[in-house]
Amino acid sequence: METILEVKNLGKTFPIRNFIGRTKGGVSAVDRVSFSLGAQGTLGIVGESGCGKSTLARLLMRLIEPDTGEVNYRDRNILSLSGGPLKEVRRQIQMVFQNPYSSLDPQMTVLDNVAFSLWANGSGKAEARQAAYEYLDAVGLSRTHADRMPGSLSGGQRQRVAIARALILKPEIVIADEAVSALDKSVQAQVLNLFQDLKKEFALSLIFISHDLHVVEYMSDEVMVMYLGRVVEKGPTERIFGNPAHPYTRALLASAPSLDVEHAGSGAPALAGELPSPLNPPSGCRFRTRCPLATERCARETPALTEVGPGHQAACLLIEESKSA
Amino acid sequence: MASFVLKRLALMIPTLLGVSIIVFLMLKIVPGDPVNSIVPPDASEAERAAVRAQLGLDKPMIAQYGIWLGRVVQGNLGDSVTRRLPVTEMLLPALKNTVILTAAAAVTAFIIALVVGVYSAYYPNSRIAALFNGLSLASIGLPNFWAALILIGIFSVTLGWLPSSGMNTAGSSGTGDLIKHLVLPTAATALSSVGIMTRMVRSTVSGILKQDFIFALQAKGVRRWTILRHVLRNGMPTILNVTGLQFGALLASSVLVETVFSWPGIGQVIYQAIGQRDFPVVQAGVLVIAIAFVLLNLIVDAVHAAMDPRVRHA
Amino acid sequence: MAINAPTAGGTAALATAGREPSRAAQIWKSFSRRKVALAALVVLLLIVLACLLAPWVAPYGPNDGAVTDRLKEVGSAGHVLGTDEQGRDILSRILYGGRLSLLSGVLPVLLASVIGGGLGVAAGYFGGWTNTIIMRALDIVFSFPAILLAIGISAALGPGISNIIISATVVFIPPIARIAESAAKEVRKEEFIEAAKTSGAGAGLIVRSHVLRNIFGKIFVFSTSQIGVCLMVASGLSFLGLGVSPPTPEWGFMLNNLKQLIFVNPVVTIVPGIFIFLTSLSLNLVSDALSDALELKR
Repeated sequence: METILEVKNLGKTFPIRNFIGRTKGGVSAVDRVSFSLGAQGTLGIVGESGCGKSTLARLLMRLIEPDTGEVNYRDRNILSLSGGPLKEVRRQIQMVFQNPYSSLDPQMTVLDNVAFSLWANGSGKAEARQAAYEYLDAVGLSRTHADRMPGSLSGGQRQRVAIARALILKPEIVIADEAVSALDKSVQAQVLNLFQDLKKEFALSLIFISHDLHVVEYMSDEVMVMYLGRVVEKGPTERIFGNPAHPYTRALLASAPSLDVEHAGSGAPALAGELPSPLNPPSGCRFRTRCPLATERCARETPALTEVGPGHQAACLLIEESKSA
Repeated sequence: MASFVLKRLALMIPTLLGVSIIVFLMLKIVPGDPVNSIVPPDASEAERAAVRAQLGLDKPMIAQYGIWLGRVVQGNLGDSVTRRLPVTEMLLPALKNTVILTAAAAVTAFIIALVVGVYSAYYPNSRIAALFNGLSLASIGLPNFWAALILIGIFSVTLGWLPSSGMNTAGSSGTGDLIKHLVLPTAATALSSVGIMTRMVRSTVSGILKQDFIFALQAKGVRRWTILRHVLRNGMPTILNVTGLQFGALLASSVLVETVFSWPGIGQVIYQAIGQRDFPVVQAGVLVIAIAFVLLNLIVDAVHAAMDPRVRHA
Repeated sequence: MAINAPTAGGTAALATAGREPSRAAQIWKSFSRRKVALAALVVLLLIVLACLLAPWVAPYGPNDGAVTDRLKEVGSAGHVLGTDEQGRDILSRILYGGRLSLLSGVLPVLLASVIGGGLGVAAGYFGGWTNTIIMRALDIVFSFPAILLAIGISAALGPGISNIIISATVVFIPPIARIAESAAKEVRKEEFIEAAKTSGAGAGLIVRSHVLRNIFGKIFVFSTSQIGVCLMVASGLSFLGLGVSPPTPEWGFMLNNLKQLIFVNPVVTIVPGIFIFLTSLSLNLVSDALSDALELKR
């Protein structure tokens, strides 16, 4: 499968300043994250809230400037672009945001919310609106919705509008950041299926970010598990869910309310304790404070991602040990 | 507490500098060449240049500001153009009179606001509360210089009870006489703030009356006056703070009121200077009141902090 | 995984709601429920119309009058609100003078809304140093009592209604900018701003089409509430002699002029003030109800 997006060593630390503006520490939001996305594939990114998923999405979009790393879209590093070329590449990567109540301008009609993306790229008013009608139709909204204000739409309808807005620029990649978490279960299913259909229709590659394991499993070919800004495990969906290697992934699977008895319980204990603060995170392996298997070594050494199966990697010192033993 | 005041004093310096810059710039926007008002109309270019250099007007703006600020810090606010005497000599006695008027208005407004505000909070549905609510709403749209004229019309002209201008009757200097002269200006000055202050007291007190400890006191059968004391003790820091912030408004409104009553304060000095195109006096008057305003806010903050330790450590 | 759902297009989500009443109609409905505000609006409109139509409505010209008619009582025949020391009809002068007075109440707020709104939006949207510089500078202007700063600027520029308008504008910029800044800060956090950025829109387009649209209501309501205050500031300046020169009629200056006559005829003296008071009170009542109707309670 052809690679469309390759991310290398992406990192972002938000400085915390004291009141006279001197840096007194940092929140390590994303730390050395690397992954690649195959053309027309779907990568699921999963982790608890606060693990850096949303920051990662914003780094990819350059809504936040990364400190380190590369984001290569079709072999061009997005981070080195600016001005016109950046604008051109940005069109190719669009995003569907988490909160449908905040992601649409409440003072613009639904139609104009969608058409705005084209105006921003220099299309004429009428032409953009015509296209907006077509894309609203593609996400299952009628002309009667188009002239209304977002305030009179349901959450699911709004999220359809947000999807139409992302698609109207004809992107190759769509990043969905918790795109269904704010919706009711039944509506979630409709929107997820819409994503699946649109992915085929428009030949999209998807990055699907969610804290909900079921959603990620349903959507993705590959899954990446994040903990406190770092990737702890990644691999093909069936391996991650069928044969999880990292203690965090196992705990996450064990604590998820399962709809499917077969996959549940790899014997691991459910996740205990609080997520540590990303301000000054634990040394070594960041998961060690909640890990039932943690040893003294975990505090000293930072585990690297190591191969645990075909295309399947995990970052855990215990795995490294058992392999070298 | 001392460190709190010191910190606030330090924060005040940039504000005062900013205020001084604006007051300095006021002089710079006066249309026309200031040299013209000094040299005779037929003066040669060389004479004009000499005057310009003498006034420091040939220097860059920042240098001019520096020189001006240096003088101001030493208490030299320039000379009056019409009366040919240092502005400070005119302003200092006037400042005392303005402070007397503002303080009298502040105390009056505070007492009225406290009584009416507490009453309205205790009996929100009473007719008196509704009446005062309407009055306080109306007072916000009431120009105080007009209120001053009405007061004169009623109490001086029609009823003849109170004097309409000045601070003392000629030849008399008793405190009683001063108070008589003070009544109407005080009322007119206080009017502009008493409405807002009453609303603030009412909302503070009614907030406290809804708290659990009041119900607990009532349940224990504590006497009403004792409960009122608890309410006031809890509300006083907030009440003093919000009403304290109105002192500045009172100070400013005294400027207009003074002109109506010929009260010999800074407002009256400014008013006369405007009429005589004596701009250095206007400028200095504005500066003095602005500094007083900034200091007043500092005092209000300090009093608030002294009464409520939470503010000090925030 | 047990997600079974209808196919894409989710017909269930498409049920159309009945046509809801327009926003303007909703606002009017809520506004008109307050009888006092409605009455204030009527008073306001009457005053504004009468002043605008002064040449047709006023019984006399603003400067017509004979000394033989001087100082007629309120309610005298032909002169409903009496005459001044030169025998000019006070009602006529009030109607003609209202044009300048109302202008000096409205125009500074309008100008300050544009300037202060622009500065506030820039500060709120761009944040960082832009914010610090703009807001600290405005804080300094704010550290003056408003009327005093206006007096200082007006006196420096010299008497004249246009200078009153300039100085009142300066005074109203900081409070309006503060409202605009905090509103723009709020909007900046919304995801639709991020969405606009990802679509490639520049800051200019985002501010014009998203930010301004969303903060307009707040600025409008606040600015409306400031017109009454501005009318009082402007007529105060005029009262001090910083405005029009005789014989031009204007409310504040008429009060200044008539105050010499208070011992002769106190009732006539205070008449122009009634119009300042009524206008400013009506404006406050209307803007109060308006902000309720727009559900933007401050």
